[in-house]
Order: sequence, then C-alpha cells, then structure tokens
Amino acid sequence: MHDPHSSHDLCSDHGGEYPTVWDLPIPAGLKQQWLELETRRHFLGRAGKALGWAGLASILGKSVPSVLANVGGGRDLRPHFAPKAKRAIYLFMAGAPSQLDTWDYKPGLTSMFDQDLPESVRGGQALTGMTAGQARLPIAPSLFKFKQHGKSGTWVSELFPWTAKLVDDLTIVKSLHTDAINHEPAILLINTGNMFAGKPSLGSWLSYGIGAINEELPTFVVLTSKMPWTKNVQALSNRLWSSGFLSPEYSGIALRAGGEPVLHLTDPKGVTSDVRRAMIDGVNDLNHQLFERVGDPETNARIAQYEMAFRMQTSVPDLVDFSNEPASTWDLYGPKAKEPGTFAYNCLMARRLAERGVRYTQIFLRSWDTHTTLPAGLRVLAEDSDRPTYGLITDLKRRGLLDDTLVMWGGEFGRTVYSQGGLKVDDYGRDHHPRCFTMWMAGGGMKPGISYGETDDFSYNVVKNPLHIRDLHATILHQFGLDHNQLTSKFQGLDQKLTGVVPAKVIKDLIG
Amino acid sequence: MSSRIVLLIGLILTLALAALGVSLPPDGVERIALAQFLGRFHVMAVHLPIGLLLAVAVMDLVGASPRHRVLREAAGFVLGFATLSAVGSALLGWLLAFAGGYSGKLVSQHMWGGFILCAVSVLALAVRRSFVAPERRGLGYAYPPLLLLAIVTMLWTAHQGGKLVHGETFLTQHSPFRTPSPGKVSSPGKKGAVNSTPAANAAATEASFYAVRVAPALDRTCVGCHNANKHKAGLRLDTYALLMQGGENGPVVKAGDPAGSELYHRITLPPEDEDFMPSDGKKPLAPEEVKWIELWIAAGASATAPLSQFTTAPAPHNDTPAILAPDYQPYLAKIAAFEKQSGGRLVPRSRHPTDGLILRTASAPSQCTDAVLAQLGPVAGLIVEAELARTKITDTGLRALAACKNLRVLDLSNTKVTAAGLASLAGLEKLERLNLTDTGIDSAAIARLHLKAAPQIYPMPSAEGPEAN
Repeated sequence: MHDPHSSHDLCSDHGGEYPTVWDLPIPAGLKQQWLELETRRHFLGRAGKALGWAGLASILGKSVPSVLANVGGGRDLRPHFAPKAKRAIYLFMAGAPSQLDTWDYKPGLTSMFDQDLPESVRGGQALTGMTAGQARLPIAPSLFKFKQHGKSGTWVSELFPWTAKLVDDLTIVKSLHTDAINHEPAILLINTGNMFAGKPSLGSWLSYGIGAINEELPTFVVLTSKMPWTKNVQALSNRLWSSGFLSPEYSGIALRAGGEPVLHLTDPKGVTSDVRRAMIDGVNDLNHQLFERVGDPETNARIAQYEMAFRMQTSVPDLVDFSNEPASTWDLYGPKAKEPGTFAYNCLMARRLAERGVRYTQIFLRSWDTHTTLPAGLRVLAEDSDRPTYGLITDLKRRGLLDDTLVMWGGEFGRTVYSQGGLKVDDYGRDHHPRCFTMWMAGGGMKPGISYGETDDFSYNVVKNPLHIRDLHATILHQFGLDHNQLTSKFQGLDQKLTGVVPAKVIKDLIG
Repeated sequence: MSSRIVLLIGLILTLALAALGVSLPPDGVERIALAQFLGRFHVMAVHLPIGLLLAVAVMDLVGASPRHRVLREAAGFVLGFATLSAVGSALLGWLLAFAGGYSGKLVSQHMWGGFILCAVSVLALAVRRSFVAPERRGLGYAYPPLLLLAIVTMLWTAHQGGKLVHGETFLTQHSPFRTPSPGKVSSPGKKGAVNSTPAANAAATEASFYAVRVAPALDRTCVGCHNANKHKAGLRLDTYALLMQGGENGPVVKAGDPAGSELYHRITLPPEDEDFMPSDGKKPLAPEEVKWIELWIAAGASATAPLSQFTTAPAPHNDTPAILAPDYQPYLAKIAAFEKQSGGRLVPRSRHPTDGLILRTASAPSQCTDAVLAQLGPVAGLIVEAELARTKITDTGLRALAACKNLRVLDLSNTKVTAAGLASLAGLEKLERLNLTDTGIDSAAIARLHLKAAPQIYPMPSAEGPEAN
C-alpha cells in the first residue's frame, strides 16, 4: 500500500532535487513513520513554509478557533474531563528528607533509644551497601520536638514552624512507597514513573497532554536552588526533567540559579529585534530543509526552541524583574528571596511563573541525603526552606492561585529508623528507606487538612492505605483532567504511559 | 395465485388486525405473559419488512434496465415476503402493545402506521402483476405510487417506533443542525419533568430538591417508559403531579415512607429480580440517585422542599456532568471569528462540550482591551472562565462581561478595573471566584460589593501577620 514511489509524490516540495528518505537504506518502518510526519506537515499546509513550523503553529492558533487548533496537528490538547488544577509547583527535596524527623511522628521511639530494630520489622529486607555491613541497627528516635497544629491537630516537627501554620491547607501522605533504594533509580521513578532513564518526566507529560497556557514562556520550568548545606549532596541531571521519547519541546527548561536566568537571551549590542527575527527565520528555513531531507522530528523541536527563545526575549525580563513586588512579599518569603538562586528566590519565581500561566514549575533543593550529621543538616535545610515554602503557599492562597495550582513537597524515598554509623545522644544519620516516606500536597483540588496512610511504630512499613508512586501520578494527572490510561504515546511498540504497565489508580480519598 | 386471491387474503388479515386495534387497544395494563414474550419479538421482526420493502424499490428501479431484468422478476416474490412479514410484525406489535402495558399517543400512532402499511403493501402486491405484465394495464399504473406510499408510511412508522424505544430526542440529540440558545442553560433535569405541565412547573421551583435531584434522575432512567406517549403500567413519571398520582396499581410514592413506596421498592430490588426497575437491563439509577429518592420520600416527597434542606444527600457523581454552558460545537465559526478579530483565545475546558470555554489571554495580555471584550457577543454565553489578569481592560470591558451569564471564574488581577465598574457583574449568578489581586480596589470597597452570586473574592484579607511561632 505504501509503495515508495507513490508516497514520494506526497513530498513534492523538493522537486526531486535532493535524495529523500526513500532513497536511504533504512528499514521500511522508519520510512513509514516519516511518511506519517510528512502527512501531518501537509495537513498544516505549505503557507507557512518560510516561517517554519512553530511560527506557523502560532499563527494558526490565532486564525482558526483554538478549539480546532487544539485538535489539529494530530493531537487533542483538551483535558479528558474538566480539570481542578491548571498548574503545578513541585518543591522537590532531592536526596530524600527524613520522614521521621519532619512529618511522621513516632513518640514511642523515644524510649527505645539505641535498642536494636526488631528483626520482625525489617522482615529480612535487603539494605544498602552503606549499612548492610553494620554490626547492629540501633533505633534513633528523632531529636526534634513535635507539636500539634491547626484544626486538624496534625503533628509537625519543630523544624518547620512556618509550614506548620498551614497544616489545614495540606494533604499529607505518610504512606508513599517506592521500588528503588538508591537515589538515581528512585529519583527517576518519582519524576518519570520509571527507574530507567529515558522516560518523560511528569512535567513533560503534562506539557504533552494539555499544552501551554502562555505561549511566551516554557510550559515546564526547572529551578535548581543554591545549597545552604553541602555535606550530603547528590547530583542532579536533566534526565529528571527530560521529555524522554516525547518530542524535545516538552522538556523542562532550567533557569540558571545565578547571573542571567537564561544565557545569551539578550541580543548583543547592535543586534535589533528585527535582525534577530530575520536570523531565526533563516535558521528555521535551513532546519526546515533539513527536515525535508532527513525527516527527523528533533529538527522540528529545534525550530520550536528557536521560536520559544525569541519569545522569551520579551517575556523573561519582565518575569525576573522583582522590583514591583510589594513589601508584603518579602515578609512572606523572607529576605533571602532577594538573592537570586536561593530556594526562597525560586519560590517567589515559581509564584510569578504560575501567575503568568506556566504549567509546571519544579524547584530542586538538594542535600537532604543525611546519612550522617542528620540533625545539623536538617536544621540548616529547614531554616533555608521552611519560610519560603510557607510564603509560597500563603501567597498563592491570598492571590487566588492556590485553587487551581497544585503544590507538592517531598523527596524520592524515606530514611531508616535506625542510625547509620554511630548513634549519639545528639547526633545520628539515617540510610535510604524505600518502604515508606511522607509527601504533602496543597491546592489544585486536593482535600485539605487530612493525613492519608499510616506507618507502623517504627515508620518502617506501611500499615494503612499504602500509596505507590504510580497511584500518586495517576491522582496528579486526574487533577489536571487527564486519565492516566488515556495519556499515552507510542514508543517501542507500547502505548507508553507515565504510570507504566502495572495498573494504577486514582486515590479519591485524596481529592477534595 | 391470482391477484384477486392475494388481495382477498391480505385484506382479510389487515381488517382482522384493524379490528384488534379498535376492540382491544393498548391500554397500559400488563397481561398474558406468553403474549408479552411473543410480542417482544416484534422489535426484532419489524426490521424484516423495512429491509425487504426498500429492497423491492431498489430491485424494481434497477430492474428497469434490460440488463438487470431478472431483478424485476424477483421483486414480486420479495414484495410478497415483505407484505407477509409486515402483517406478522404488526400482529406481534399489537401483542406487545396490548399485553405489555403500553399506551399513549406515540404507541397508537405507531400501531396504526403499521396497520396502514400492511394495507398499502397488500394493495401494491395485488396490482403488481398488472404492472409487470407485457402490456401494462390500467391498475398497473397504480403500483409505483402505492409502493412509494408504502415506503413513506414505513419510514414514518419506523421513526415513531424508534422514538418509542430510544426516546423522542434520540435521533436529534447530537445533530449539528439543532439550534441551541447560548446564555440560557437549563440546569440538568429542569427539562422534561418540570416543563411538562405548568402546574408542576409552578410547584417545583428552581432550587427544590425534587427539581434539581429527583426529577433529573427519573428523567434519565424512568421517563423513557413512563411518559405522555408511553405509560407502562398506567404510570407516568414525567411530572410531579402524575408521579404522585401513581399508576394502575395505585400510588407509587408514599410520602414519609420510602420502604412502603412502590417506586423505592422497585429500584432497590436486586437487579436480577423480575420486578426490578428499570427493567430489561436498562441502565439502573446510580447509588446516589437512589439515595436522593429515599431521602426525598422520607422528607415528605415535596415538590418544593429546597435543596439546602437535604444536608445529608450525597453529591452528584461525575458520571452525570453538570452542563456549565451550551455545547460550543455549533459555534465554531463564531468562535473563529472572535479569535481572528480580537486576538483572544477561546479554549475548551475539557472534551465535554458542555464544560464551557476559557477566555485565555496569558500569551499576550496587553493585546486584550475593552474592544476585544466588546466583540464577545455571540459567544459570551459559552465562557465559563475568563483569564483576564494583566490585560488592558477597564470598567467598560466589565460591561461586556455581564453578557457571560455562565461565567464562574473571573480573574481581573493586575488590571485597571475599579470598584464602581464591578457593579456591572452584579447579575452574574454563577460567579464562584473573582480575583481582584493588584487592582487597587481596597478591602473596604470589596466588602461593600454587592454581587448576587456572592463569589469567593481574592485577594483574601490577610488575617494574621507572618510571624514565627
């Protein structure tokens, strides 16, 4: 049916001047894929050839109803059902904060200081190489005092005096569990739904599924924070905000922590906006020709990125200009918010991104990997992040953004009840623990003021309402009006989904 | 067989049918299980004459060409078969209607349509021989009009039958030619049940639990068989008065006593029970709908008791999404025209066409001015959310927004609107959230605002200063 010669006619632009994909010694399947792309290109029409694809798409978006533009180009960007959330801000505590010292209060442990963890609790679980060789696994009760807060009477550690004021706005999940015990697979699993690199992250799936609110800014923005504590650092990589097998235009765009947020965004002296536009048009035209010859979708993504960069030249300066913030802002986020790159600054930036319609902002704060000197590390990290976290949620709330902005806080796994290394009265460390950890969410239609799930007396095993990451992902997508089973993309012979092949469920008890 | 004998037998059969229809009309009383059993085959058998009659017409037409003469020769046999199956189907249909407890105007129309079809088919069959004779005789010329009449009668009768099975709006519900009226959405369920009689309309006022919860549930599940055109068991559930009146076996609702109410009893039986309603495997009431009916009967089965009185009633389930705005699909051209002229975007909130549209300006807020809003006109009623933050609109633009009767979420943050201008929004009855952050409208002015819908207004007054514990 797809005779190369008849298909050849589809692509008449080049008039046979260049060798085409049909002349290449490549498998027929790839040629078929190219044909599909080619058909789509013809659907969009030739009128915009000089402008390049992205330019064309942006013009199309304004001359045919958005209703149709959303459906055109082969994909329907309308949510499957009416969403509760339009945006998300994920405060990602990379390295994994200890649930035992923050949200999962276990008063019974105080009397068990330095006792051995009962074998029945561990249940023969394999430990990491860091503690597997330890002679004993001594219980380390949290050094931090807990107090009840809010109408919900939620126990919160003294580490978070500011966030504690918000407990009635939070949906706290104490029974999250993961499949991985080491950072890289675990952090990939919670960000991309899979332990192996190469899968699209949650933010990419959202961009792919429902598109942008504001075309002038990236749909998915990543902000990495300056580290106030550098003793327990784990590396971050752009695998965590990569679009995997989805088109690269759905990747997260990382703004830099210091200096210019986006390098080389400002035009050099003597280059006017018109000159820049002409340059981009020229490059797009070349890229377009390249696409015709090779048929690689990455070329289209490159065109889209040039267009995005051009638009960001106008949108970013206004975004990063904090001078019009009222005094009350600094009261909320604290004085550190004035220093670019800090977690506090990033929280304020996240609010500014949210109000401009960026779908998904992920802030990374590292160094929570407290194998040793946990009390000192947590104090510094909490001091750095607690007030800005409070500031962000309070600010979103008073500005009417929290209703449809989902805020999430948490790491990639939990930490062990037993101490890694020597246990002292005032010092201990905790190893990785995948069987339970705490995460909280706020806004975006989640049910406020509740705690979901319970762990045993050692915060070691989940005893009530276990929540796997895939269920968390299904629930998050649900808040965006997306059915996780319908949000798919074909790759390697499979309709790939964020939640993977194991059945996942939306947890209705978490939803308001 | 000569034409005369055909005519004779056919007419006798048809007259017998008509006699049945006159002497034993469908009266809404169920009887004779065996007759019901047989009668239900009507729904299947009836497709036979439909297909056959159309086949006759096609065979006759194509058979006019000498190359396909054989078709015309065979058409006579097919017409005979069609007529026989029409008579048989009509008999089964009468059995179903008479024994199955059907009654109403639609049922009568369908029945008599079927009988007339039988008669016309018999006549067509009788004159067909003259039509195909080598020298066409006088009566033969009556054949084409008779066949045409048979087909028209059949189409009309079949359509009436279809309405009986699927409901009267089944065919036109998703028609692109249906003309909805934007800006006026009846909340789900106020249609049908309450509109039927003025009395019921007056009794069940807008905010009553009956109108908002009970009637739509009955409407969706029960009214298909208990309505003005088809009242099985003599029962009609399409108005409050008739619901309370009950059927041939007396009242079905006993106010204050759900357990003693036939209606509640029937819908709470195990689904496999013979008496379970809705019958025949139709989609049953949802659990929350059953609960509503129980609570409503327990509370006195009033037509007017307000929604707010039923505090323990479960919330409506997502399966029956509320209609937030008219279906936008018939307005695509108008949406495109608005977007082209204004530069604004109208984005569907979801794939449900009645979830409404978002007026979206985030990509170029500075291009959204009062002039843009002034062009909303024909699509104003489709908008459920208006994202106007950072736009150039002023109080003039707010006057245009007053036409967005289905608006629920309005973001005016960082605009130049004033407290005085907000008066234009007073009539937006569905407004749930109004964002006035960074507008310069102070909290005192917000407190003085008088909006009918009493939406949540932002910025929220800062209750406590951010001090550490």
